[in-house]
Amino acid sequence: MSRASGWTRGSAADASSLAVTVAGTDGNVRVTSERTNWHRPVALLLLFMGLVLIAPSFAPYDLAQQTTVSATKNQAPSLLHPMGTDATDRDVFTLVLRGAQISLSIGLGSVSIALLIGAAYGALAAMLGGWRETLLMRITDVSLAVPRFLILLAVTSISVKAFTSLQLMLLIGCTGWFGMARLMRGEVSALLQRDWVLAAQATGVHRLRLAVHHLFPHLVPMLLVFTTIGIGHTIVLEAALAFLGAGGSGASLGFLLHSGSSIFASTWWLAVFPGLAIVLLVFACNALGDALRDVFSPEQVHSWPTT
Amino acid sequence: MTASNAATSDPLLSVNALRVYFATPEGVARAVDGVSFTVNAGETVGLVGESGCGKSVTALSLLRLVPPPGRIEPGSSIRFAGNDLATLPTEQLRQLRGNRLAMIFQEPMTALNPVLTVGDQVAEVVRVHTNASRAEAWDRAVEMLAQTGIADPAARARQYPHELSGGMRQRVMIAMALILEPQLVIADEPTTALDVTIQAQILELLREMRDRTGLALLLITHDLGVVAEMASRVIVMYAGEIVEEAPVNALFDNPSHPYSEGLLAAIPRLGDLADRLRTIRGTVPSPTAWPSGCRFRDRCQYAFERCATEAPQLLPVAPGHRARCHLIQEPHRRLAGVNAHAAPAAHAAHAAHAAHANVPPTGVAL
Repeated sequence: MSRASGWTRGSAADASSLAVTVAGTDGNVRVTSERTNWHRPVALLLLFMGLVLIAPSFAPYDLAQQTTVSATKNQAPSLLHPMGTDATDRDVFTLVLRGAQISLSIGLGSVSIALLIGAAYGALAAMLGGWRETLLMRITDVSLAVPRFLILLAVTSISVKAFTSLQLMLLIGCTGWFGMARLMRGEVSALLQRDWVLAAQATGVHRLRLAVHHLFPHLVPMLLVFTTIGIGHTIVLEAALAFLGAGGSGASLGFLLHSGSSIFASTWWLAVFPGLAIVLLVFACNALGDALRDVFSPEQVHSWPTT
Repeated sequence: MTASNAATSDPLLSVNALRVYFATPEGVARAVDGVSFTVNAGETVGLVGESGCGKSVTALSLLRLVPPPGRIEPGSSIRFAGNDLATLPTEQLRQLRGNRLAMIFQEPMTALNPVLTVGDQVAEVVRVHTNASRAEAWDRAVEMLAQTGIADPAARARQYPHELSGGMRQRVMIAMALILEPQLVIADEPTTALDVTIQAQILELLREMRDRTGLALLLITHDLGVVAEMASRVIVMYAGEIVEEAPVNALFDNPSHPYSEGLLAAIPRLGDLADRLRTIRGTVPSPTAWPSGCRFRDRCQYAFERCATEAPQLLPVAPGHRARCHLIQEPHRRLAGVNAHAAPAAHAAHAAHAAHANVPPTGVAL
């Protein structure tokens, strides 16, 4: 992690102070462009996704192969088991990989659902205009006023059977699109004021084509930023639910953290490594979102302080 | 009462009692308030007036693209090629837009989508209205760009609007409007945003395209020079109404409405030794509160009692020439000259190419 100090500061930097000053080895202070830094969080996230995707073949141990040999239970991290083993002799590194896979897929899946519903809803509202727009947006305002986490907690707790990952994905996605809808309506409303929209309509372009061909390219940056930041947010949300024992049936990172936390004093590695994985995963998503936002709003480049 | 001297057949466009109102928090703005005119096939008509008199709203309402809260009021009719555009179902109207009836916008800088190539935007018109394949539409677009005088059209078509100059973008707009050879083109101040030399080129191009395809042109402008050069007939709008309608020569020789007279007097002339430019005093009143009686009376040097009490009708002056002024019935009033409270029309001044800071706040310079 020796490289980390350089980009961590830059990528996590607040948007208002985008100057990235990196002390070079020669002692001079160099100013690097934020625009060149986006590929680092991308690389981290891709690495994560890659690890997670190939986890089954990559993981050094098969989770199904449980033994009751006491010698290999609850082992501290070693070269053989880099993150130790748990009470049923399972390799924690393998557990974390699989947990990250579950967490990430729930994050990706529910954000995709939220994105599809929210973007379509918001764009529809903006393009309809008038009282229909007002009605649709008041519905989202009311929905946003409902505390989402409590609703999720209540629903998952009431259910007799634990939700599968897919069900949880749907549940989180379907309760998470209101913000997207609002954002989308604002963006599309602003775009509809542009002269070229009127000019396109004057050439007989129909509404669907206007939305897809003319408006959509303008919305891609916003959608990308929302997606990346939303994934991080959703992973935390799911982890929080799982930590409270209200998550899905899958052993996500939050579930691992939950089960490891009760015996933290004796076997710290059971909680620490899943926790670290959550932090890194969420950090990668947020850093990527920040970086994308910087890439897509180049006007901020010129406002950077030079030293 | 012959409205048009070329009424041998049905006009291509016949606007009747068009009213476009905007419900604003300040009240109902009657931006276009009972406008009737015709455009014949192949004819070029100039629609003239200063900012805020309803020209652009008239233009947009012909395509039914008036932005909300603007509304074409019931009772308005816009007959075009056998359809009433004011009431035509949206889908049928869409099929006419860009196809039989097209519009050229004032600002080529903002009227093109910055994320699409210009070729894409020209080809789109073809794709939307015909069954042409993507490749065919592209070829037609490139050909059309060539016709509008764009050098190396195949390469230009693949560029984005920001890579093109203002004049070139206006050529692209013209290509978009004319690619399907519409019967009527509405050009809303097509040269206003351009340099003078480019203006002349664009007008020349419009004239050339008009003569080649025989389209009718409704040319909206505040530049009477453009009208004199391009149009055969002129409609002068003021405060949401038509105040004068005449063949172009008749208007220039014999302006019958004091507003038209003022517009013509405001054109600087070469060799004119006056050190101040003529203007029409005052500004267009707010569309939420047009004055009672004649809407121009506050700015009119001939205004008399009747103007305050009775709104004038469009009255015939000569065949094809009508004006909305009581002076037509009482011509002696004009000879009586400037009324008592009116200041001389030429009181406000600025040099021909002076900075905007020199324009007096109440002066309307054309």
